Amino acid sequence: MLNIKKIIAGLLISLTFYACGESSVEIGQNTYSPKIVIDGLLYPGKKVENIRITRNIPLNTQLEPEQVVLFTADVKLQDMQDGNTYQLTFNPTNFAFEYSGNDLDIGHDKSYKLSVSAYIDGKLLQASSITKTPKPGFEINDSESYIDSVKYQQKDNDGSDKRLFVKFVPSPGTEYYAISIVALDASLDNFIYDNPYFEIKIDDLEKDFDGYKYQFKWLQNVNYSSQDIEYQVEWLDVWFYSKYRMIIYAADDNYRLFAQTHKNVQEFDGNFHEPRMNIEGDGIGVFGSAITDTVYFKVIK
Amino acid sequence: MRKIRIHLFLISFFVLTNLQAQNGEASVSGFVFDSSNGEALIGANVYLTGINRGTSSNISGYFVIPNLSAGTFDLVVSYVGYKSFKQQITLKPGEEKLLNITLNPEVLVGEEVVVSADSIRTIQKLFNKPVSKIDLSPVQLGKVPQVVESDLLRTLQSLPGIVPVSDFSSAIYVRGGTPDQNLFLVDGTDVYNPEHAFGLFSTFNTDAIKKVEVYKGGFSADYGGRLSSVINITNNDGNRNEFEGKASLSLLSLNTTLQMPLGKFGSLSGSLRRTYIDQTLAKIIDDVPDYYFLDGNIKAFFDIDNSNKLSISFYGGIDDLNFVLDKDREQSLGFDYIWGNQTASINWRHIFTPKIFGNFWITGSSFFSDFDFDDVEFTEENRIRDVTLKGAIDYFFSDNWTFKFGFEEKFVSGSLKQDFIGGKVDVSKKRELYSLYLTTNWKPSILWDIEAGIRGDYFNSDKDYKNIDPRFSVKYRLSETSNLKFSTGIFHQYANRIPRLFFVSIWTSADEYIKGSEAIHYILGYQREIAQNIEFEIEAYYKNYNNIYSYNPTFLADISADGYSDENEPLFNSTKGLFNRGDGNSFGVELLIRKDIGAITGWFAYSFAKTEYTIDRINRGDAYPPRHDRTHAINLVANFDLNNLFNDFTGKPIMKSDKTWMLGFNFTYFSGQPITLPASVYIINQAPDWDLNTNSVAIYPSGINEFRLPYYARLDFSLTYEIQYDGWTLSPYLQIFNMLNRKNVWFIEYENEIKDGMLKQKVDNINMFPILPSIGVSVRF
Repeated sequence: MLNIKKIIAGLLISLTFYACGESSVEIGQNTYSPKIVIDGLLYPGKKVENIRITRNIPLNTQLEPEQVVLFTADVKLQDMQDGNTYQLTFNPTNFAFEYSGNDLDIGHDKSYKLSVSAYIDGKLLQASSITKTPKPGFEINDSESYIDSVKYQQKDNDGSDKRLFVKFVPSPGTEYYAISIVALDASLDNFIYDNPYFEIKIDDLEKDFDGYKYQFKWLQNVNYSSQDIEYQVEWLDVWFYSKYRMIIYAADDNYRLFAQTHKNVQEFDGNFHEPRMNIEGDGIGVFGSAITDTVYFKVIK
Repeated sequence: MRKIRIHLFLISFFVLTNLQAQNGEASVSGFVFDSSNGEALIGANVYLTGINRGTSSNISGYFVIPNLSAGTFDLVVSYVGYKSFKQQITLKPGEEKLLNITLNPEVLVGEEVVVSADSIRTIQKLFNKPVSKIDLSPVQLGKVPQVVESDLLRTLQSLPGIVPVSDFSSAIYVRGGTPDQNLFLVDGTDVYNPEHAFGLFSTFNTDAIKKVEVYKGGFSADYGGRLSSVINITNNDGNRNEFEGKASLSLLSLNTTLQMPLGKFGSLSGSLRRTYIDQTLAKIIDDVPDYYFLDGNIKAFFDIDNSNKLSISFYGGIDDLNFVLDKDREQSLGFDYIWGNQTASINWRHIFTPKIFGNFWITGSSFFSDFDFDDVEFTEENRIRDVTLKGAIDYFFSDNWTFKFGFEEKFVSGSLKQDFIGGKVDVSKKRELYSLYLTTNWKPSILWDIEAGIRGDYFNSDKDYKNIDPRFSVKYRLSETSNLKFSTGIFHQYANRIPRLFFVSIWTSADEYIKGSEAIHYILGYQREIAQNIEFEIEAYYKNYNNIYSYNPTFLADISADGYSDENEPLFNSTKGLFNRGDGNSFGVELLIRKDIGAITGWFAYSFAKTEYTIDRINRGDAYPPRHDRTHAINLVANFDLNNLFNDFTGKPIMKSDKTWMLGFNFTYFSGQPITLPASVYIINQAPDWDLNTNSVAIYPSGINEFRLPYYARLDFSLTYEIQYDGWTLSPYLQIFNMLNRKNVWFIEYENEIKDGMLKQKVDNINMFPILPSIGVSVRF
């Protein structure tokens, strides 16, 4: 009987000990493994430039450019059609690699391989990726588009929303179109505080200012055999009384994989999953290609 | 031709049976009922003590002991919580004695509760039970303290081998399997999404439940279509003696269950439950969404004659959420979301002869959800409908040899329609599943019980699947107080559920892109009666899975259009790209010590488990533990009848009082669940034309589920005061979920901060439920 009482008492104390208190998760260095970060796109008919080669950073690190940019990396671009290889050089003015010669023309519907090797933390890492540039044909059809100055939430005579939209001709074979909308004159002063959707206080805006200034949209699985693809600018795409630049990228699959997955790595239940990146070896990021076209519009009070 | 063969088979079956009856052998058969309400008792033990032969009542309360010689026998019928029934019966040669036995509940006010020595022994009950099966009664469900009110699925989470993934989900993961691998049957009808309130609560109203049977694996050929488990729920048939009611009020819902006799012919039972925060808190506090759920069921039982019983059952449930982000803004973002289940079943039970018992069902199950987020031009319509014809015939060839033959024809249609900016999803499919099974049970001696079965499936889809699933189990009495059991089998599944945390899950079926899934179970168990009415069980299992599917979290990068609308919008008509295929395995050891009778009841459970999945495109194709992998799990459920606690300790008789205090504890400990942590950050812009900005920092994760969260622990408490007066019972109660307010981490939130050239990640632990006290009251009359 005494033993039973002791067992029960011991059990209750143990349960109480285990079932109270606080647990927490600390993130240490043990999660880190070094990677080469590639960030660059090729544009047919344009110079090879702005290929940023950096490294990933352990969490909670002092951010110094010289610690992040791999300016001594060996970066080569190979034209897969003829096998010729071109050495890219580091340009310190924009912290990016470029090809300074005149003997490389990036063509449409051609494959290029970027190879990078670099020492990180004393260890030689290598990464490579191949992109196939889009076929020619993509362009915004200005005459069919409505891109102008509009009043915020402007209505037509019939009371419906007056919407800005662009129509474009897709690139044959290209299904993915990224749309970058940037408020060029964005400031705390010209933010649309009196939007009809929800209240945004200035403190919250300061914290996520860039989240409102830079908008990223996309169309995928686009019917590229059509001559008439439309993107309508939503009022939720604009948050400032400002001039806007809208660039549409007719992009390859590498860019699609990256753009669709690299930020969406945390699930609803908080757990992480891997982004999808078409890079071999010890690399992450994107090496892709695209054709672009740009329009401007303005949202006024 | 096929029909002729079936007819020939059935005719020869009946001829054989009747020949047996003419051999001069007698039998005793019948039904076992609860005397207080006329409900059939499932799993009651029926025994002829002198000759050591017995059986247990089936899901309809029916039993038969065939092939008896003429003579006089002592018949004992026992059931937990009821006084044993004893009767001397005399059988003449060839007599088929039919008995309707009623058992009296053993607890009447002021009476001594007797645990009769002639009741069937605990070890015998354990031996009768199939491998990996656990039964729960509504009383046991009601005693386990839970979030706000008792909940079937949350109670199951405290059994060994069954774990949750978080406090916020009532979904159950059985022995490493995912929730879609569990077959939920209510009165024989499949239920597809058994959750209310985004998974917080299950759709099963515990007041309406008569019995829950849980098969954690190795189940017989009677069941198919799922890889992991079967949760078979039987609702109340209704009180056949008198009008009976129960009303419960908790902080969450108002709940009523009524039962009444339908003359001499049967009974009627119905229940209705509705949450009321939309009528109370939501009208006062802006942040509380306008939400409610409502569910109800009605079941009619018709006792047509001694050989024919019919029951008709309906269930309906609905969840309705109207969410507005900022109630003060005229065009504030908001959405409407409504979803629900409806099921119906007709069940006919027929005694062809005492040796042949038939059970036939027509069931229908329907699930719908409609989501309308007008502001971002997104709508979704999700439907699944299932009509099933099934039947099972038990043939008691002899006392130690029985057969069961069954068939199932299932017609399922499902559709998912989504309309959003830039595309449309329209997946509408019709599927058919035909299954036949045959099971035989042979007891060569009182030491052995061997069951072998085979189930054949034909699944008609874009691509057809045919499978033969053998099942086998053997039970052996090691000694007077211990048993050894083994079970194995192959299991197939043709449906997969796409889990979505906020949205209700979507079901898809095997097709040209998704193969049928397969699992093989091996289970070895040992049981022991360690004291009178104290059960001890230990089971080890190994499962391997082929072609299991997990939702592809990066499906946006994989889906491709199947066509285009007139407006050039892409149309998606298939499941291509939605799932990642893989394989896996689980193994573990489970221990259960359980006591169902006395002033102290409850169970102690421990489980050790390991699960690994290898899924294409996840973790570079390397094996990883899924999030529900919990290496160690401990559960202690203890309920104390405070009036009799001292009596129980000192061995004195337990008395039932008209004023009772009941105390309950539920302690839960789980090893930390696997988690993928951020491994590093990198600087990159989503669009190449952007300047570097505060959103240019992206997180790169560690290996998938490479790390573990801290352990999870929780202690729940309940105190109930029960007063009985003049046929009325009033039970106010207090429940405290997580009474010591332990902060268990659910997940971690990260925010990148750049300050003074320092890139930091602000880490916030998001915790599960804090201490949640709740009160309620129930009234029985």
